[in-house]
Amino acid sequence: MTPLRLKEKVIESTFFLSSSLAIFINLAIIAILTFESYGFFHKVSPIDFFTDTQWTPFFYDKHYGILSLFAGTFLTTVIALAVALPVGLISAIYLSEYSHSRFRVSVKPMLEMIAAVPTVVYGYFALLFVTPLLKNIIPGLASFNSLSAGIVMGIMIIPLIASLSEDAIHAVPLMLREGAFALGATRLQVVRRVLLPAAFSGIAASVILGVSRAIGETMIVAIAAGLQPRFTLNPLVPIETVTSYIVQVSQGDAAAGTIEFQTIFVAGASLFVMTFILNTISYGLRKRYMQAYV
Amino acid sequence: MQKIIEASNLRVSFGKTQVLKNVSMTLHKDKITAIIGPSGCGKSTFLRCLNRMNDMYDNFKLEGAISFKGDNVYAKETDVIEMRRRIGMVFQKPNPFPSSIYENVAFGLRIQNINDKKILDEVVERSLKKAALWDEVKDRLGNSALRLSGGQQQRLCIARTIAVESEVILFDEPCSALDPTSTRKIEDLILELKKHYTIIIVTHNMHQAKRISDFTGFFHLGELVEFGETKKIFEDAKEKLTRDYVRGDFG
Repeated sequence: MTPLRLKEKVIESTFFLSSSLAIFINLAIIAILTFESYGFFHKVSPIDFFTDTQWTPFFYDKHYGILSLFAGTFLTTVIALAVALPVGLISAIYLSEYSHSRFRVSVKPMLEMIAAVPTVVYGYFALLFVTPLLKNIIPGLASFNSLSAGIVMGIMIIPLIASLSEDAIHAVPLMLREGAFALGATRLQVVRRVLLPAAFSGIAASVILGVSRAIGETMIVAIAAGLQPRFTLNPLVPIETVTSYIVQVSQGDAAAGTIEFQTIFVAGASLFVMTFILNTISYGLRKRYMQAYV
Repeated sequence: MQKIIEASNLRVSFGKTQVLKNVSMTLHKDKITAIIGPSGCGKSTFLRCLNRMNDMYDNFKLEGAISFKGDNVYAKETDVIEMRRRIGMVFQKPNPFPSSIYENVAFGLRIQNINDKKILDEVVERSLKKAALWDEVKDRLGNSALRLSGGQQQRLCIARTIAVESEVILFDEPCSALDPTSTRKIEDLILELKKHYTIIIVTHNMHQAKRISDFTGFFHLGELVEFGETKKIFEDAKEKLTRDYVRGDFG
């Protein structure tokens, strides 16, 4: 092999290694999650894990029912989406179709900047501003609850959904709008009957990304939703999400190899599976609804 | 001959750029009027003024008047939606909606809240027949319109316009994205449609204007240089500029 050829080979392998690094790390994470979860399921039956409605690894009477953490995650995510989907989509439609182009150009970057606010700030906003506000309206509201955490999480996701959906709606070719207008469609009809269906894949992708964001969101729920695993869909009481459980235990002193330690990994593996499924759905949706424009 | 649309002293600008300067033109009912001229002469802008398709641009400004059957198109009280339905438009590039063939034709009715299946079926069939597309698609009305060929898509767009019973159809270079065979089909179709519709067609293709139109208007630099019967414009134009253009000396 000539020196030049060797040099080429070295460069090529360096590039290959760098680009494989991320994949290797991900594989390593999956391996660790699987390994520790395997250890966990040696001690706890998967049936209990998926059907028990109590999660009390640190109590004398230990229960390992992940459902109560799932319930917390589900509840906050649904509340967040109930806020973010309508507001985000309406903002996207307004920006793309109704607002003056100058307004759009200046507002969009601002929207994207909101996404840069650290989530810990949102968490305290939920705990110290939204919850007291809601308490005026809902007297029975606990100081830690999924309602205000969910609402604030929704506010956090609005820019994400608004911005990505706006991209998708705006990317629909102008000639489709013109075709509809020329048939006597109103602006709202153009939005409903032409733009939303045509931009469906992009909008769905933005929503699913929002859901992933909500499921993985940690700080807001850890601060404002409480740390009490509870199998409930009542938004007014303290709950605990999968993510906030991981935070709670990671800060403690669960020793490696113990079952308490392994619960972190099994919770993490559950999160991983959830986001993986969501991403797969998103990918499938995108493929299915991808429109080939001429 | 009955006049249907009349533009008088039309001046149009986008921001600081003036695109049309003092254009006056009378369009006759159930005739084909061709609008020719070099690129950037304002012919498409003129066409798009007739059904207010320029309204969606923020910096669009129009002075002068356009009347459609005696009504001022740009009057405050004009129902733009209704007016656009009566003056349909077919665009340069075929622009079917990303839905089925059937739904593309039914679109104009559905937005008027006509959802009766019997009425829709009937209108879809009649419109596709009038657009000379029925035989090619009757067995696959549920298929995506995007899978049709360019020429078929353009005829679908014509069917869509016919379906809402427009009286005037504006064609903005409808064949510029099509091959010669499809072009021929569209031209034959336009000649056929003339029996019931007033047609105004912007075209780059002088042979096309000559072949199908009854009247021709020649635009240059935002002005209507000459307007008259097609035969006259092509064989015995008054203006030297028109004679040069139709001979192919510039453009």
